[in-house]
Formats: sequence, structure tokens, C-alpha cells
Amino acid sequence: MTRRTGYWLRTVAINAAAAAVVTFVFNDVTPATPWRRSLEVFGIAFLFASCIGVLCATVLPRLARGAICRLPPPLYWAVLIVAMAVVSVAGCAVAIALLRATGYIATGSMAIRWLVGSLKISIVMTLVIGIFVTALETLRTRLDETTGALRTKERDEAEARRLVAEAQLSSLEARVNPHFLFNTLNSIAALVHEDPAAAERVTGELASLMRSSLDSAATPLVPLDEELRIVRAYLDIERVRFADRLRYHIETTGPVDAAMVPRLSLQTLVENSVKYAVSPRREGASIVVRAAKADGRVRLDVEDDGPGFDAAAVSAGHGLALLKARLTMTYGTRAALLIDSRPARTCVSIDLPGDPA
Amino acid sequence: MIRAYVVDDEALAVKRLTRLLEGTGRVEVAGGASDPEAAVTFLQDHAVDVLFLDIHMPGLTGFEVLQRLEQPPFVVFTTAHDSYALQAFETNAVDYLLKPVEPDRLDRALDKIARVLDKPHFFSKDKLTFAVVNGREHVVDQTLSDLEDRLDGRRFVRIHRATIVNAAFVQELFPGVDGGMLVRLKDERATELSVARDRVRLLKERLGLL
Repeated sequence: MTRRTGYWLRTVAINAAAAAVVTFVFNDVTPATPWRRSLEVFGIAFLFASCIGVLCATVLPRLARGAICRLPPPLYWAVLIVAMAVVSVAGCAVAIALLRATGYIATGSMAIRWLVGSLKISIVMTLVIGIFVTALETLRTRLDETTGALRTKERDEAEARRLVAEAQLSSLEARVNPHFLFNTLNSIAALVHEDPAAAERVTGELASLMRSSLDSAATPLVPLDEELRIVRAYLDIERVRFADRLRYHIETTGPVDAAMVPRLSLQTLVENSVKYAVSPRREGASIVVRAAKADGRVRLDVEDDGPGFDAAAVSAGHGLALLKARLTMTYGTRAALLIDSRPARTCVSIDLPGDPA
Repeated sequence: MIRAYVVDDEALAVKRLTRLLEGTGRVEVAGGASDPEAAVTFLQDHAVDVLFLDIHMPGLTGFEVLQRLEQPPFVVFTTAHDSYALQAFETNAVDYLLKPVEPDRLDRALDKIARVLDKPHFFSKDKLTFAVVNGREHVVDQTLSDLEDRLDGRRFVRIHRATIVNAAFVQELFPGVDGGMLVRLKDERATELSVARDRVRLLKERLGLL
């Protein structure tokens, strides 16, 4: 059954019920009345109800949704009630015209008497039914809207959760970078014979990095001194691989140790420098890592003297793009990732609120 | 002994692979480089049987190093991560090893190379190339010219349009009936192969007879 069919069936049912009420309450029909008479009264009442009902069902919904829907409730209802009254009078007129046309009502003056006589009951019935139905419809519409809003909210929340999970997964995959991992293991294998102490040290540093990657979902923010420890471990490992091709130093300013930063955020910037400035060049590059806390904000910079890269070319799966997404998720608009890349000087910075909450 | 050369942009990696290769007892490492340009220079002047080549290097990638060599030897690629496997096989590499290289995988790669290097001779017939092993003829993938390019010229000599002989298997060189020269091989059948007249001098040079 379509909505429209259901709607009209409901209207017919209401009309029948209204007719029944009029028959038994407002006319002197009793169980004792002969059934033909009862039927006749019912038939006429049903005709009236139908005429009024059809008009109401056609006009009122359009009116309610259209011109007056923006009016404040008292005015809205007042207009509706007046409309219902008008429609019921019109409906009566139509019913009487039909009865006159079929000859049931003999003369014009009888018709007028009928009209006057039926007005009171018609208006009252129409108002009662009309208000009841309108209230029901309003409630239903509001319910639909609430349900709709609820579903949208649920969908948005599910989407947000999915994005977080995806970002965590990507960042995890990017963290456990196969090239880096296997190259480092190869270095360790070589160092075991050349310089066993260094082999042991690098093994520990690799373990630190891996542990940090694997923990990244659990504690997304870490103290800056912990992040710097990770950065130092990472740079030491890469120095084993690149030797003199990698030159670096780390500077801190202000009370940085306790400042909270996203885990592996500074490390991502350093890794980016190694990837673009050190790895592709025979002469390698110099990297300066800066961490500063001042005026309630934390500033992390990684600067290198490499050839730079095109900030616009940073693709979606790129470490920097993911970092940017993480920053937005954690801080909204209160944090920023800044890229300033020129030939021979590239500086990528993260600007964070000193207080993550 | 298989003559090898190692190229990797990380000096530690060159050291380790050199140590592993020499440890097998069947490889002589002719040298190693962490600068791909230096490697190209060396290889243009010196012949080796196999090149162990890193792919990811600044300046020249492993593939680019190969392109620079007119007569590249057999190649085994090494890399930390296997995203280049397909490209490697397009270059007709012998094998592809993941770092850190494991000794048994290295042995398998060396076995593949030894299988070629231990052949007494190769010949071509009806557009196919054959090697003879234990008296049976086996088809070989490369053409004779391919092999001539890849195989170390001091070890393998093209004595004829249709024949390449492994100098290590030459028993003796003697004049044939019609004025040409013949080589007799050290294999079970004491195979005799004729040497083209214009190749005799080359063969004698390679065998150290001149």
C-alpha cells in the first residue's frame, strides 16, 4: 500500500466514523429506529463527512506545509482553525448541492434550511477531527525529523570513528616503514661484526621506535622530552646508515620537557627531511631540529638545507598529510602545520597550543 | 671461483655482503663500492662474473648502473623491501635478495650462477642454445651472443659462430686435419670443438698461450 493510498483510506475511515457519530449522537437514531432510516441518516451524514473530509484532506495539508508553516504556533493554529471552519462550511454546501441536484432535497429554500441546520454540527465535528488529525501529523513530522537528525548524527559519528581508525592504521603502517626497518636490521647485522657495541645500541634504538609506533593508538600525546628521545634514536640509526651524509643538531628553548605533543609528530618531520634532503643526495644534508615553548604555545621546527619539495604535491597518503589530519583531529583549528620550502632551505613546523585540552 | 663485485650506497652493507660472500669459499670479491659512479668506472675496465647491486641509491639507481654498462655481467639485486621485484626480472637478473641477506638465500643465488659458469661449453643449433651436462644437451635461455656479452671473456671464449668454450675446461689445443685448430675438453667425452681461423689468436691469448 503506498503512502497516498493509505492516506486516503484513513480519510475514508475518519469520514465513516464521523458520520456514525453524527448519526447516533446528533440525530435521533436509536437501536429501535428501522434500519432503513438509520442507513439513510448514516448515508447523508457520510456524504457530508466525505465532502468536508475530502476538502479538508486536500486543502489543509497544503496550507499547513505551505504559506503558514513559518508562523508562530498560536497564529499557525488560529489560521488552521479558521480554515477548517471555512472548509467545513464549503463541504456542507457541496453536499447539499449534490442532494439538491439528485432531488433528495426538494427545493432551494429547503436547501438553505439544511445548510443553516447542519453548520453547527459540521463545524464542531470538523474542528474536533481536524485538530486531532493535525496534531497527530505534526507529532509524526517532528518524530520523523528527530529520527532523521539522529540517523545523520549516528552516521557522522561512525564516519568520524572510521577516519580515526584509518588514520591510526595508516600512521601505523607508515611508522613501520619496511625500507627503514629492513635497512636498519641490515645495518645491525653488519655492525655485529664491525662494532658490536654500536649493534647493541642501534638494536635498542630500533626497539624504541617500533614500540612508539605500536603504542601510537594507546596514548596519542606524549611529553616532548619523550618525543625528543625518539627523534634522537631515529637520527642515530639513520646516521649509521648515511654516515657523513647526515649532519644534525637539536635545539630546545623554554620549559619543553613536560609539553605534550602528538606521538611521532616531530619524528615524522625529521623522517621527511631525511627522505627528501639526505637520502637522494650524495652530499646528504644538514638538519636542525628545534623545540620551543613560549607564550603558552609549543613550536616544533625541522629545517634542512636540501632541495626542498613542493608543498602542494603532498599526496593524501603522505606522512605529512596524515600528520596534518591527526593535528586537526586532536586540536581542531588550534594547531597548524607550516611548510616553507625554498631551494637550499626547507623548514616544516608544527605550532601547537601549550595545553592540549 | 666466482668473481663478484658489490655495490650498495651504505658502506656497512658492502662490508657485510663481502664478508658473507668470501665466507662461502667459492667467491672471490674483486671489489666493492658505495658510490655507483665509481662502480661503473671499475666495471667498464674489469670483468667480473656477477654484480651484487643495491637498487635504492642516490645519484644512480641499480637499474641505471646496469644501463651504463655495455656488457653487464650477471646481476643479483639486493634491496630492503621487495617493491622492485618485477622491474628486476625485466632486466634479466639472476636473482633478487632481500636485506638483511641470509646466507642460505645467498647460496641459492650463487648456485644459479655456478650452474652457468661450470659448463664446459655452449653451442647453438637451429636457433637454440645448448649446454652439455653429463653428456646430455640442455636448452639454455640466453642466446650465444647474450652469453658472450654476459660471461667473463677471459673465462668463456667465443671460438666459433656457434660455440663458446669455457677456458677452464680446455685440455689441449691442436691442429686439425684441414689446417684449422681444434680444442679438446676435459669433460667425460673428451669433446672436440673446432675453432674458427680468425678466433685462434684470441683463444690463445685467453688461455695464456701467447
